Formats: sequence, C-alpha cells, structure tokens
Amino acid sequence: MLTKLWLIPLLPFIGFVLNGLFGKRLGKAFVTGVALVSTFGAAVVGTMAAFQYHAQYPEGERYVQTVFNWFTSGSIHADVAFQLDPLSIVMLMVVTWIGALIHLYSVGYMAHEDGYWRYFAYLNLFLSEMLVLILGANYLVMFVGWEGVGLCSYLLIGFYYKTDYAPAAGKKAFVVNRIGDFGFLIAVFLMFAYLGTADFGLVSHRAAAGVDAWLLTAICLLLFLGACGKSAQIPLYVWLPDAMAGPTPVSALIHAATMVTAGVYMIARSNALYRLAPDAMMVVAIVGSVTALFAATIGIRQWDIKKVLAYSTVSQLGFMFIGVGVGAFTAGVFHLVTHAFFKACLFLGSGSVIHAMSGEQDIRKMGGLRSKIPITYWTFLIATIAIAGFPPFAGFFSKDEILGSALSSPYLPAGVRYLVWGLGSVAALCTAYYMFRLVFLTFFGDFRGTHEQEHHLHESPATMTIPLIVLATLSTIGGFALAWHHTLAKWLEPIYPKIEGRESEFAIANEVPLMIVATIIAAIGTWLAYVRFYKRGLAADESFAQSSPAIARGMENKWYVDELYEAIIVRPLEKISLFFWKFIDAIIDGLAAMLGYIVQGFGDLMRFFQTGNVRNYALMLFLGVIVFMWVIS
Amino acid sequence: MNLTPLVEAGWINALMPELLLCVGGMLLILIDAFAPKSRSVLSAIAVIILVATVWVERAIPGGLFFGGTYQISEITQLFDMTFLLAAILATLFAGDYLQREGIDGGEFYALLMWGTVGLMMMAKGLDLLIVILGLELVSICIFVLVGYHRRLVIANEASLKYFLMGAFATGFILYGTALFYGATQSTNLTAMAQWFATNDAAANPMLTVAFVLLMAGLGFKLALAPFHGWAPDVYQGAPSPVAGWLSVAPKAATLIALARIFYAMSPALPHVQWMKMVTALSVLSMIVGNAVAIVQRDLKRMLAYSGIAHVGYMMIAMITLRDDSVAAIAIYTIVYALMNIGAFGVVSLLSKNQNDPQTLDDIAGLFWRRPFQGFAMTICMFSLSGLPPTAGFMSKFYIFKNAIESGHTAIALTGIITSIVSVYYYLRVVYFMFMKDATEATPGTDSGVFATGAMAISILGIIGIGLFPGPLFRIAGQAASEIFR
Repeated sequence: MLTKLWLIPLLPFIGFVLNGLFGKRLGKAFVTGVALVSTFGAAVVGTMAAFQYHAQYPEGERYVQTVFNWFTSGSIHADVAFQLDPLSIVMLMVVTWIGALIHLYSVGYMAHEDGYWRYFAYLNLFLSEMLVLILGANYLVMFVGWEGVGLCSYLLIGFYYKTDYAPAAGKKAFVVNRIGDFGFLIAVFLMFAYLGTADFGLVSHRAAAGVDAWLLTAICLLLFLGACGKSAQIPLYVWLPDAMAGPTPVSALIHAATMVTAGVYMIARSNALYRLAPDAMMVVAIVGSVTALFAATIGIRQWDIKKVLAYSTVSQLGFMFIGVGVGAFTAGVFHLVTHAFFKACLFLGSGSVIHAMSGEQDIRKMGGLRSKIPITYWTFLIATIAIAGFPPFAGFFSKDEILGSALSSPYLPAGVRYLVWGLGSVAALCTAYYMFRLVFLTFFGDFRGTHEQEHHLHESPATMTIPLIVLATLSTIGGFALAWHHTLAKWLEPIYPKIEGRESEFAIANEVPLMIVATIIAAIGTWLAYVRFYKRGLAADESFAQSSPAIARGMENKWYVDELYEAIIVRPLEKISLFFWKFIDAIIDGLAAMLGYIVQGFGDLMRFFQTGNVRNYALMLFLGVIVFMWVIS
Repeated sequence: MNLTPLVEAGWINALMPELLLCVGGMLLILIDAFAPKSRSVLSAIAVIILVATVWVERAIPGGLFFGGTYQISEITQLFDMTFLLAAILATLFAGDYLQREGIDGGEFYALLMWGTVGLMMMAKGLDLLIVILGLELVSICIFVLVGYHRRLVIANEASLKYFLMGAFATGFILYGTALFYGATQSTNLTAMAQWFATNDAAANPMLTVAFVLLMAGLGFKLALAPFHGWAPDVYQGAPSPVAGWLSVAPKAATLIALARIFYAMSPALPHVQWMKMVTALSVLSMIVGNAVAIVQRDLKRMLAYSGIAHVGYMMIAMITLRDDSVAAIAIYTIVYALMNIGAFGVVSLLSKNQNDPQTLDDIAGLFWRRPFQGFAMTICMFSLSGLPPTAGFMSKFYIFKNAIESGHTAIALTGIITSIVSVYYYLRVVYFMFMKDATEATPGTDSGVFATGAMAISILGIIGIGLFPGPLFRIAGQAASEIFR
C-alpha cells in the first residue's frame, strides 16, 4: 500500500463522485454504503501504508511518491507528489479514523434530513481534500488541499441553505479564509522566487543552508497569516463561531478535529523555517496565547451549546499555537491529537443532546439530562474532564507540556515567556470553568424545556453512541499513552532537521511543580463552576449580569468584534465600490457637461455623441491621454 | 538593388486557415440565402468549418510572408488556436440561443469567422499597418454582432456605442502609428526594433506622444481602466454568446500585438518613462474592475467589470516583459476563453426578455434546477476567482510568479489582493445557485446538445489544464521565444 499513497485521498473522492452523481436516485442505503466503505477503506489503506512505512523506514526518513510532474517553467518545477513521514502519519491516523467514526455517527444523526446524499457527497469530498492537504509533499499540493477543505467547509456550513443564517455563515467563512490564503500564497511565491522550490524537504534544506533572515521571517509570518485564517486565530477567528450553522457532525469533524488544525500542522511541517526565524515564532506564540484567553472569556457567557464549544475550539487552537510558537512543535501536535479526541467527543455529544432535545441548542432550555441520556452524559463528562486538564486524562498531558515549554523556551525572551505562560494559564482556568458550567447547566438541575421536548427525550442510536464511547476512551487514555516514555516525541523526532544552534528538543524546567500548578488551576476553575452552577443553575448567570453588567454584556456580544469589523472593513469596502461606480461617473458626467458649455464650437460634435454615456467615454479617453502624456514625458 | 518579391512561394498554404474561414463564411451566407429551411443546421456547419480550420492550422508551414510583414510561427499558431477555440465555444452557445430568440441566420456565423480572420491578422502582423487592418476587420464584425438583436433598443445602443467609440480609438491608434513612422521611418516592427536598438528614443519627445496615443487606443480596445466605460454597456446589449467571445478573443489578439510592439521597443524602455503608463493602466484596471464588480447585480455587467480586472492581470505580464511574458499571456487567454465564454454561455441559457437585465436573482437555485448548467457555472466562477486546482489558478499563478521573480513585487501584490477581493463576487454567483431558492418566475431553458457540449469543453478544459498544466506550459514556453523570428 505504501506505493499507492494516492489511493488514500482517491477513495473518498470516488465516494464523492458516486454519491454526487447517483446518490439522489439510488437512495439512502447506497449513499450510506458508499460513504462508509470509502472512508473506512481510506482509513484501513492509510494504516496499512503507515505500518509498511515503519517497517521500511524505521529511522523515519521522508518517503516521497511523485504521481506526475505538475508543471515546469524555467527553473521552477512542481510535482503532484505525496509523502509519508512521522508527522503526516500522525495526521493521517487522526483524520482517517476520526473521519470514519464521524461518518458512522452521521448515518444516525442525518437519517431524517433532506439532502442525505448531498451531505455525504460533501463530507467525502472534504475527507479527500483533507488527505491531499496532509499527504502533499510540497506547499503547492498542500495549498490545493487547503483550498479544497475551505470549499467543502463552505458548502457544509451552508448545508441548511433554506435558513437565513447558514448561507451567510458559509460565505463569511470562505471570504475570511481567503484573507489567510493570500498570506499562504505569497509565502509560496517567495519560496519559488528566492529558494527556487516549494518542496518541503528542499525548502527546509535550503533555508538551513543560509538565507537572509528577513526572507525567512516574511515567509513564516505569511504562512502564519494563512494559519490564522484556517485555524481561526485573532484577527481571523470570526468565521468559526458562525460556522456552527452547519450540521453538528460537520462541526465535530471539520471545525474541531481536523480542518481547523491544518494551520498547526503547517507550522509544525515548516518547523525548520520557524526555528530560524524566532521573531516570527514570537508572533505565533503571542497571538496564540491572546487568542486562547480571549476566546475562553467569550465561551463563559454563551447559551448555545455549540457556540460554547466553538469558542472553546478557538481557544484550544490558541494553545496549539503557543506550543508551536515557543518551539515545542511536538507539544503542539500532541495537543492537536488529544484535542481531536475530546473535542470531537464533545461536539458529537452535543449533537446527541440536540438530537434528544428535538433540535434545541439553547442550554437555558435544557437541564437534568443526566438520567435521560446516560451514555451521552458520561462520555461528555469524560471529555470535559479531559479538556479541563485533570490528570490522567488526555488534555492534561498535552496542555501541561505546552505551558511548561512556554516557560523554558530557548527561542523567546524571558518577558514573553512569562506573558505567554500567564495568558495560557488564565485561559486554562477559564476553560475548566466554562466547560463545567456547560455540563452543570445541561445535565444537572431541573429540566427547563417544553413538555413536548421532555416527552421526546431519548438516547441516540448505536451508530451515534459507539463513536462517542470510542472517542471518550481515547480522551481518557490517549494522552497518557502518547506521553508514556515520550512515545510521540520519539516518533516525531525525525521531522526536525538538524540545524546548528536551533535544537528542536529542550528540557522543561520544574516539570513536576508545573504539573501540580496546572492541576490546581483546573481544579479552581471546576470548583468555581460547581459553586455557581451546580446548585443555582441559571440564576448564577443572572447574578453575574447584575453584578458586572458591562463585562457580561461584552462577553455575551463576543466583545463586539463582528460589529467592529463591519464598521472598519466591510462598510468602507462597500463605500469604495460605490465611490468608483457612482461618484467617479458623476464627476465624468459633470466634466463633460462643463466642457460642452465651454467649447460651444465643439457642440455639434458633442451632440452627435449623445447616446447614453458615449460622450463621457470619449472624454475619458481624451483626458486619459492628456494626463498620461503629462505624467510620463 | 534587389527587390524582394512581395508574394513568397507557399503563401497560399500559409494563409490556408484565413482563406478557409473567409470562404466558409461566404458559404454559410449562401446556404442561408438559397436553402432557408436548412437554417437549423447552420451552426453545425459552422462548427465543422471551424474544426476543419483547427485541423488545417496544425499543418501550416512557418515563416515570414508578404515582405516580412506577416509572421507564422508556433506562437501565432497557438494564438490562432485560442481564437478558434473562442469561436467554436461562441458558435456552440449561439446555435440554440439564436433559434430561441428567433434571430438565426448564416451571417452571424460568417461574421464570427471573418472576425476571427481579423484576429489572426492582428496576431501575425509584423507591421503596424497589418495589425490595424486586422483590428478594423474585427471591429466591423463586432459592430454588427453586438447589434445582432436588431429589434432590441439596448442592442442597437450597444452597437452604436461600440462603433462610435471604436472609431474614436482607431483615430488614436492611427495617429500614434503615424508618429512612430515619422520618428523611425517605418511601420515594420522588425525595422522599428533595429531603430530602437541603435537610436536614443528618449531624445525624441514625438515618440512619447506616439506611444501614449497608441497605448490609449489599444487600451480602449482592451477595455483597460480608465478607457473601460464602454465595456459594460456593450456586453449588456450584445447577445450573451457574442459578449463572451468579445470579452476574450479581441483582447487576446490585441495583447499579442502589443507584446510584439513592446518587444520591438524593448531596447528603449529602460530609458523612457512609458512603462509607468502601462503600470497605471494595469493597476487601475485591477482596482476599478474588481471594486465595481462587487456592486453589480446584473450578471453580464458583473462579468464585464471582471473582464476589466482580468486584462489588468494580463497587463502585469506586459510590464515584466521577459520571455515568460508572452507564454503567460498565451496561457491566460486560452484559460480565459474557456472560463469566460463558459460563464457568458450559461448566462445565455437564462433566456427571457433580452431587454431586461439578467440579474443574480435569475440564477437563483440554478444548481438544483439544472445541475449541469449550475455545475458548469460553478467551475467557471471558481476558475475566474483563481481557486486551485482549476486552470484559472494556474494561469494567475504563472503571471504573479513571473512578476515576483522579476522584482515587480508591488504590482504582484496588488494583483493578488484584488483577486482575493474578486472571490467575493464570483462566490456570490455560486451562493445564489446553491443556496437561494428559485421562484416561479425564475427563467431558464434546458441546454441543447451544442450548449451542453460547449459547457463540457469548458469544464474539461478548466479542470484538465488545472491538473495537468505541464503540456500547455511547455508548448507556450517554447512558442513564446518565437515572437520575433
């Protein structure tokens, strides 16, 4: 299977084509079969390839497979090529297996929706593009996958296209992402122009061989701009909360476990460049830590169960960027993996809750669901403990490693190290708080919904609970297993090219005390949530709004960032467009009329031109010539 | 003194494509005149003639003809192929369209073919006079084609506008050419190239005037801002397949002619400020075209403004002016033909009263009503906005990469930023097709075999070139070195 790497993205693509072309006619059984066979097929083939790779390349060398020469022009050469190395194998396992589980879950969740075939066609296409992204052997192939997943994300967010908000949310996601793509693309152009290649191996090699510092910093910052778009970091995070308009399994797969982590993957992949550009790393670490805290504060005061999780995702992605930003690439990737476990579990759990509540997403109308949907409750609780960072659950190990590395990083000045660690720690406190608030409001207390909803409450079918149980298990033991004897760190070791004076591994000072501090922080957050919400329920939220109304309103309205962007970007842009269209035309009209009066002798000629705006167009040509002559002579 | 014979041996072979199209056009008119009942097969015959021309084109010998004024080489062949591709796509879309509108007739296809002959002359002319002759031949055909819907007011208006403005612009071009002749004693580009190589162009201010006049006139034909005013009105009034053809083929021919003129002047360019004008035209076009397209709801006007922006991108290649530039333009125009004529073609299928604008509302829910049309439009929009792995991405990539490599970073950034803005309005079309519901009044027609075929060519071309751009890049790269032989 190692020699047929292209088969891995091709399988879900075939699924997309079959479901897209015939799904509508051949019915649900066909669609389900195609979707599951193609995704589980990709997972199995991927796993087999990974084992073969490990057998043949025990040292973790890069295995590249060129499918065909994409184009050659002058000295520039780009291949359509796939690669396997330890990092892509980690991503491959996460994406294919969690992707397959979520496909399985979707079979139950989407069973009664219109457009069942359409949903699975999009989802298969997404998986295929995501696999292109992580298996691509150069930045250009990666970019193709990068754009492809963006497109699928757009289609899936807008899946309920008959609502008002879903299509608008999809469009917002796409447009915001394009700003990030701009950075990515320019970085690729710079690589071609100055390094003469976009191949991962060659770029690292040539960068390490000695290039101007400004160039590396520029490339790294531009790549990070791309990562900010895809991975929802400040200032481009605004699309992700709105993206919750899509079906819940999509939120789990695309907007929590896989696509949004692509930015982290890209930076880990470009570690050689970043290690040579500490300034860029500092930007990444600071943006990551600010985002982690900022999004966590918004999460404290949301009532839509999926919105809480969405801000939580933004915040957790911030943690991953702290990891890669301080030079602890392994820790960043580690958190990416554990986050995929517990956040997918939380989203799927929220889907199960919404399913049980007949579509209700407002936690103010839930409460006391613990006994009604026990499997959902227990899995959700486990994932919450994991994200809050209690040992020995998965989130503890990765988050601890990130914050510990932040303090010990050799790449950052001391002040920045403490700042990043401080922001991250407060964010961790908030995380424990808002997650347990969510648990207490949803699963404890009295039921607050309608009588009809209460009557319909039921546990979800097995296709939905099995993925929940699997993911909860992984959230429990996944972190410990990967941290045990530094399994993941050793596995990822070969992806860091040797660069003089830029070690990839550094020891974390005071590891044990920091672990204790991290646990205490999580415990404080949980205790605060318990005190406030376990007994008092919603009343705690109300008393908060009364005691500090400004902060409460700020959090509720997401600190007015959307409004700010509307005022400083969207509206001015519209005005510029209108200006070019209306105002400039008006000026031309005025000038032409004036000229008509001045040059009476010209009058006859001008009247001849009086069909529509022809007179003005002619004048424009005439004036243009005069201006250009004046300027360039 | 030896006089070169004006007509070289083998000229008739070299001119075969042009001759075939001239005769073919006349044949179509005659068929229409003598056998009016066969009107429904006219478009089929036209396609056969055009495809036969493609076949002939592959075999013609290269060389210089007519006293060194007419060049036939790999690059002119490549551009001829672009013109023929554009004509074939337009013909395929026009067949159904004209019948639906009740304005079918042989002269339509004949004018399209004769226009193509004019384009071929522009692309092959090594003498400014040949270029102008070709340009005028095209302009006359366009003038009639734009007003082909002769009972419609907007069509008449568009036609008259194009005629008046075209005449005005031709005046500039002719005057500029005359001044060039005055300064360099020749209109032959080979001779001009020699003159520029041996004389100091900066010493003669008349040349600057000549350049500005010529560039303004050609800029008008290319619909470059600020000389773009006519384009939206004309595209809106023209039959949609014509608008598609008009937005691509004449621009391609003008660009290759312009590239050749620039090459002739290239020794002088570092010493004069002329490129500032070209840069200004390019930047203005990218900004104005994309900014104004955002607020358009009429699809044809939107595509017109988007076309202004696309010529702006192509002009970037003109500014960098290196061997890759001509290749970049060749690639871009082929891709542009596929995606833009495809887009106009789908618009032509939204038939209703042609006097009304065809707005975004008319395309609402198209994907669910007519999936293939919706799919074709989606691919065209993605390609126009430059998403990988479509051909539109590859062609833009090539141009921006050249610009950055040759140190024109600022203008490349302008191009990339404006093309990101453009995603907004292209995506809006997709958004309407997928995510808005059609009403009962939403127009639309099922596409016939020909229109379906044309859409299939567009889709396959766009995805094919996007995935496998290698062969096209190689052909264009080789051919580009032969622009002056």
